[in-house]
Amino acid sequence: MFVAALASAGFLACPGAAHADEPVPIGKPPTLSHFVQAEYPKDKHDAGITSRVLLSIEIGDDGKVGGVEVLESGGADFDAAAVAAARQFIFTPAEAGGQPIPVKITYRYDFTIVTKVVSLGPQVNFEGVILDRFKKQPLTNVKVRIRELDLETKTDEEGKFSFTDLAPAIYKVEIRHPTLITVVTDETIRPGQKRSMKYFVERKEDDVDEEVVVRAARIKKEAVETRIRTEEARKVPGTQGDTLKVVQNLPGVGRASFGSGQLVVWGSSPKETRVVVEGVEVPSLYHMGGLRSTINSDLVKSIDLSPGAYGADYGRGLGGLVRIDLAQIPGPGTHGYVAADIMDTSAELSTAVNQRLRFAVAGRISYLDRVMSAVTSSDIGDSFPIPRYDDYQARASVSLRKDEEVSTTFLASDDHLRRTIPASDPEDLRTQNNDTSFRRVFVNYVRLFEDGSSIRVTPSFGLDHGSEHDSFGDQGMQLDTQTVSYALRASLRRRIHSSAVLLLGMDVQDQQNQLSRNGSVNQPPREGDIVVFGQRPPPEIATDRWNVSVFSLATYATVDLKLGNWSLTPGLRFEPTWIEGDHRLPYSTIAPPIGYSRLDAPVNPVNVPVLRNLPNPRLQVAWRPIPRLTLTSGAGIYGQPPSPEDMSPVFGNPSIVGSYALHLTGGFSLKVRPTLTFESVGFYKKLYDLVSRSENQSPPVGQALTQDGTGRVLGLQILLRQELFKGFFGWVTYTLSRSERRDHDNQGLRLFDYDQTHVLALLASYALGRGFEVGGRFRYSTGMPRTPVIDSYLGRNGYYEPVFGAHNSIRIPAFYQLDVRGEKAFVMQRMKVSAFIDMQNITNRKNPEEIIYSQNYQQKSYIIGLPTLAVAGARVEF
Amino acid sequence: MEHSKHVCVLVVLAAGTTLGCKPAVGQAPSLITDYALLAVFGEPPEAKPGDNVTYSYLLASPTGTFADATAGWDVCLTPKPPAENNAVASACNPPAPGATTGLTFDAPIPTNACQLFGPIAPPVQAGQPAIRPRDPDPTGGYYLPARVKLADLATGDVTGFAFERITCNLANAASAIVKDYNTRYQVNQDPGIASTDLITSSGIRTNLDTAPQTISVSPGDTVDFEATFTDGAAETFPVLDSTGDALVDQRESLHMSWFATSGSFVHDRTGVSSAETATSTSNTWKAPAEMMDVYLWLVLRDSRGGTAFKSYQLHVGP
Repeated sequence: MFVAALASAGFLACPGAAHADEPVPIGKPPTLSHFVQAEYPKDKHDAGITSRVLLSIEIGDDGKVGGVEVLESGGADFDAAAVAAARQFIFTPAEAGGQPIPVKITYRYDFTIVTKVVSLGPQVNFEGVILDRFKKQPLTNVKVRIRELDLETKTDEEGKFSFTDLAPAIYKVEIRHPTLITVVTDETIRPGQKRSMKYFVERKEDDVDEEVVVRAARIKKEAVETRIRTEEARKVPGTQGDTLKVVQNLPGVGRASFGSGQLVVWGSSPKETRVVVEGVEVPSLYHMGGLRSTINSDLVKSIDLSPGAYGADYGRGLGGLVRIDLAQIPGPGTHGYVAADIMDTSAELSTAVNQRLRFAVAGRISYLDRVMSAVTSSDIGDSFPIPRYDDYQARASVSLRKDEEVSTTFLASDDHLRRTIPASDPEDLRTQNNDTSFRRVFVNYVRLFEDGSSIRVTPSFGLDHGSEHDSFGDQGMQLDTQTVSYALRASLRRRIHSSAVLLLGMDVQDQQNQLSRNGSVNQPPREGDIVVFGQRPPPEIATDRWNVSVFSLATYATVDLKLGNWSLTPGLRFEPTWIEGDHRLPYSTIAPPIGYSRLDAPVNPVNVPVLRNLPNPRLQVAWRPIPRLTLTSGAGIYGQPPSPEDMSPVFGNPSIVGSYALHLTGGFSLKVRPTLTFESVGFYKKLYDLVSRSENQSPPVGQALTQDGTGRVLGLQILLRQELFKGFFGWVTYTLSRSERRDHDNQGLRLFDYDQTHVLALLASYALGRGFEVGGRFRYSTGMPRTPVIDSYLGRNGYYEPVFGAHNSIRIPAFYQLDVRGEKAFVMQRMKVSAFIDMQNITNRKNPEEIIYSQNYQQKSYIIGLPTLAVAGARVEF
Repeated sequence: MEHSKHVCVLVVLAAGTTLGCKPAVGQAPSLITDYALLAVFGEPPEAKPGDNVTYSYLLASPTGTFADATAGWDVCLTPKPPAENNAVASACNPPAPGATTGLTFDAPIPTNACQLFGPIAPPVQAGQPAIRPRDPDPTGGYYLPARVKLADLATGDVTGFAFERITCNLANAASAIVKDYNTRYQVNQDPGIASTDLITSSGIRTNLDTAPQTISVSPGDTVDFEATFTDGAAETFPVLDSTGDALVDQRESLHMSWFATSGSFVHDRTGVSSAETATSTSNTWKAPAEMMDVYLWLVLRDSRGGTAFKSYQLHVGP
């Protein structure tokens, strides 16, 4: 668009042609009363060429234009346009002496191109979309607020938001939703420019209220915690795509003993580490042998491992805490997958009936045992027992209203191990028939409020069954357990101050245990027993059936305080436990059984009576002196109720009470790059009132176990972690630790059975593009302690028996192994097909897994772990 | 003479290959290449407290049974703590100094043996908790350990234990059951090896006990041995069931240990379970490739601690 500007350079009165040479004084100059715009030559306009034409215009006494001459040319086309326009001008004539007179004026016609600002209404100059950081799905109803202007909007169904006509400035943009980690970021709005952003935000952990700045380290609630997303975990080599198996490679976790799948966290016994799914405790994270996890990976959102010093909202364990959060059932539409490899087949199906109602079911069934028996000799199971397992889950969620949801979850897991090692002498015949299963049903009610407050209520019901029937010749061992559990977790989280959030909670658990046992008091072995692998059990047998009820009503309170760069979370947990048993002494033919009932609560290990009986304190502190560096520290007292298995008057001790522990940690987390983190944490644990076997040659009745054991763990863990970035993720973790136990006051410290001085793991995965991904894992760990055999003698029935040296004074040689993984994914319309191969022990290293001896204990050798093993599988997602 | 073998199985899977190895450590227990204590046993195999028992041992050597070892004997009166996994208390090993020496050893069953090692709880002082009685073995038996240490052998000392079954009353059972038990229970008697036959690959059977001269086996030949038990070797006896409410009859199981100074047995041990009624047990032996005299020992045990043995001499040669 252009505008022709009129400029009058001057004028000259021309009273008439006859009087041209005699200028007449002008009383009033002519004025242009009708302007006609010249037509801008199009080619020149398009080319952006401007020009100027100086004209001489004769104006008659009637105001009309007479002659027009070009005085200074602007170019032929410009001249013509200017003359043509000027000829149509109409003037108010000039006057002289009060009379109109003709005049000649000079007139400059400027051809210029100007930008005309045309207001078309409000303009969007800041917009964006908010996506889930890991799933890349749009997030709706997320508040986006410009703090300085107190302007706020919400994301739509596509996760989009926009602001109009923001004045140029730097604004603090706050992204907030009750389920998301609040994000505050600086955005610059420039004049005449629109800013478009894409934000990837992370869902909030339970009961955490945090404010973070994008690209800065997130302040953690726990002093020590590692969170792995399922998207990463599935690609870790050696896990065969099983998300939860990645826990075995997290910092602070020792390598499980061969084929056990046990979690040894910060030098604690596997039974001391708790696994909770949405706050509901489950008995085991893995199936027998650690081959698979008991929960379908596709239902899992994230896995958090807190090896110690965690908050007051959890308890009943001296070791670590593994928290599994389940993912929201995806929608809209129907989704699912089917996967199969040589170990098992699994599938998942989910559907969103409507916006509010969603269902999901999943299941897995194994056949590795049948595959192995079909392709190999039957005695493969002698060294590598292969269990048969299955698990299945169902979920339903109903969105009651905005930020209020009820979900129901059913978890089930079964394991069966059948093994017979034939022998020519029935005395050497070994059989093993083990079955374990658990069921969990829980309802999870969640209500989130606009101010970040929340209410959670989770009632649950559980049924656990365990059956272990082993025999070694005539000597049998049988242990049957059945536990019916009822639990209720409820928490209220409320912001009580701009920098303080209060969490109040109740954690109730009732377990009704029925147990039956037959065999030697030393079978199965327990931590601290001096025994060698494969040793015949002691010849004595005993039997008992007992019922134990353990009711624990725990209440807890924490406050999340944000004081500048400091974050403090003090907490208290009070965990009284009522224990009831049906007989205190072994059954007798001369006296009826007498039950017992008592109240127990974890005490604090201080010598001040008042403090000793107060609720157990917990404290997590984080200080961020600079945005990339966070210093953390944690401490707490943790209690663990007695195990019902230990409370038999024949095999254990009905009078034992809970054990307790002190945890201390200190470390730092440095955000080297936005997705690269270096963490280091030192830890110390002191354990009290541990249960161990009586050392008495003739212990009193009902006291086969005593409770004067103590322990200590000292260590340092390091983690260098690259989160998923440009297709690459990985981590290096190293843990240095020493875990010791003292079984009785008069004994010295010994190494813990699962102690591993060095544990190193390196993992990396990289997306090559075109659906190809490769990864590798290297592991190194010190071998676990064992008690040496220094001599032997001929014992019962012609079998030799070992003479032991110092308790746990030697170790199994170190373990190291390299695993690799490759995956190729194909996207076909609505389906994604991926195939993977997981090669374990690619170097075929012969890792000693256990020490074994000749029958007369004069020669020593090792059980060698699995050689190179390829597990291939495929997965179809839709 | 140590050797370590690995029985390896190749597992070919649709998706890959794995190799699982099952280790077997040391030489076969049935191969006697040095002094080897094969058995320590008391006679009679079961006795009441106060009864006298004669203990003896069977020591094998590459040149046959060796009876000239310096043997130190005693009875260990230390009960095994429940926490220990072995059959005897660790305090019982090594033997106490000044023990009696000799090929055999006579010692009475201590009168308090059923309290030390049996089901009778020892007396306690007033105010002290009752002591846990000992647990029986699967046959309902309790045992007194008697140990022997064979010294001055060229290869070092050897230690072994005899487990003398103690006849104790049933504890923690109704009087009617106790009475029934006392009526039905017969103390254990040693089993016996009536005869041992050598069966060649061509089916020729030779009774080693009645053969007029040493039997010859060709080098490298494989032969079978069949040992026949004496009548009644596997006795039947009552045992209190796990509920403590009833007696159940249990038949002894029999277990044969095979030893040879050369060649190799397929099995180190064979046996007959309590559910079986077989009257003999067999084993296969491959003769060494070299010509030599070979000594054989067969040690038979029943599940209540009774012991019997026989030894033979073979000639490997043409």
